[in-house]
Amino acid sequence: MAGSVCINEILTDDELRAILGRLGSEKDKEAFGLVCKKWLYLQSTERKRLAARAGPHMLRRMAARFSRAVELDLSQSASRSFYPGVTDSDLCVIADGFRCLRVLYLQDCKGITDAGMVEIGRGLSSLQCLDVTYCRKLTDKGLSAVAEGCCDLRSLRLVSCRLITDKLLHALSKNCHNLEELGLQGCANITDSGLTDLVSGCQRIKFLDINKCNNVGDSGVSSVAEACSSSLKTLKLLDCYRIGDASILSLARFCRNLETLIVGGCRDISDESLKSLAAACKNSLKNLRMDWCLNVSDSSLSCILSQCTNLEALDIGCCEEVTDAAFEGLGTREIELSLKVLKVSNCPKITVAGVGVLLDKCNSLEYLDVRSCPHITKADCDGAGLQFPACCKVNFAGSLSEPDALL
Amino acid sequence: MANNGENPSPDVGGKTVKLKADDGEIFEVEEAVAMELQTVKSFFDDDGVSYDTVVPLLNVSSTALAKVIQYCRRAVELRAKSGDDEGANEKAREEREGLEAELVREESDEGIKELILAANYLNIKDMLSFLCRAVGDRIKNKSVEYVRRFFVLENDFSPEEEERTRNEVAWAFEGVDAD
Repeated sequence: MAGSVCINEILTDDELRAILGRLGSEKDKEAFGLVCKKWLYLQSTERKRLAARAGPHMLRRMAARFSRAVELDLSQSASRSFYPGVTDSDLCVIADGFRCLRVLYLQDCKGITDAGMVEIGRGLSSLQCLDVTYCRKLTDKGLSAVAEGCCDLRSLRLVSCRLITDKLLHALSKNCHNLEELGLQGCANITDSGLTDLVSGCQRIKFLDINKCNNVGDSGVSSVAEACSSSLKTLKLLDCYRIGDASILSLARFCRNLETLIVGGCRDISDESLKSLAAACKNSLKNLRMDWCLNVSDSSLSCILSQCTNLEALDIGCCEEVTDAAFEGLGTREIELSLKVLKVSNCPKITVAGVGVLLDKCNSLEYLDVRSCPHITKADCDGAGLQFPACCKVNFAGSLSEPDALL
Repeated sequence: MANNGENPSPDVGGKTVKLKADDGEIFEVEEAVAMELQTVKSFFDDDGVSYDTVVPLLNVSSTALAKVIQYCRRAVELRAKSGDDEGANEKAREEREGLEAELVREESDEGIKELILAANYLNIKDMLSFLCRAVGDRIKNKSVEYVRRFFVLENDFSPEEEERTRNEVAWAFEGVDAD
């Protein structure tokens, strides 16, 4: 175009990035990339996050083009999967091509094996976050290679990787001292000595999920409590039936920042240790799930309700000893509960009287589960004239979707 | 050429600086405003250059320079208004954004580009930033060919390369972005 002002010469990469930054829609960003090779390079290297369904050929092209990608999501799901799925050779391409990668999501990529993990450990030294939930073929061998190669690992999710043993925990302890999140739900081979080993090196753990790791007992949990005392915020011990009062007392003694505790199914836990926990974590505790803790009674529950002023979610389903008395203590006091979710299913001794006292002190309730409570039916509630907060859903018979604060 | 109405002589008794555009037109500007133009500031930072010296700005047209001066004058005023008070800061920020919008609204594409060249030559970072953002707005929803013409750029992809790049985007990505 004769006479048209040409600003191309004076625009630096920064200015071009400023222009690109103004383009919100995918379509405009694509158009930017198609203008010329330099602009394609800028657009591609600006892109930090990718989600894809792609075989090795396309992955190679993506790696070449989006060389500075920091996050890659290849997780599969019912709505998002392709044949034959992510394979070890794909992981090889990723390890070679995405050198800056920090976050890699591979949930449900059921075809991957240790060979792929070895490649990840070899190539992605900056990796901080790896999620291989449901990748059931993985064993200590592959994941230890990740631990050894990716020393800055902060978050590792291994839900249902049931072949994992204490050996991996040893590798993590040796190599990954910045580890903050570890998800081992369903890794039932884990034992107390593995946990003790883990926290000798990993002392910054904030989130530990050992749901259904039923070989774990008090000594393992106590080691975790002591070693990660200032950092531990979430501890999940669902169905770890060997856990007892000693674990709860350790948590009370060491972990003043504990926000979420799941001990459903840990039926040896009794009132005394829970009272200590309530006193110690009265400011921090937000989510407490203790369904099936059959020894729990009014004395600890009333302490929890009156002391843990930031409690938002509580599950005491099947705690058969609990009665209305647990709530009555609240009646005389000037307190306002922050509770949003309360599950008291299968607590036959609680009646609408107890629920009434609770509602009086709690305006924030969003979900109440009273299934299988013979004295709390819809008719009972209406008859007692109970006033639920406007947004509150009440589950009398099992048809509502559950909030996931307590999963 | 006589001073045009956009550049009244400053009536304050402070120091002024003379700037000369590419066609010889002289603009007399308050010192504080002139120092917004980093190029001018560097000119005077050299030892021994007296403030009476006329600064030659050979790469800036008088139309562009007039607008730059107008913008910088208002920007300096607004900056003086903001301080520790969050409310005052917020108001000053809004006014500045209004000023920027006003400046670009009436400009043709060629006009914006001239201002970019001027802001670049005179080294006024803030102005260059918002001008680039304005360009981003102007190329939204436009075709690739339009963008090439705007920037006077050659397409250096081969037809195969261009086809391949278009295809990658079409089926490989789920579109997760938002950095």
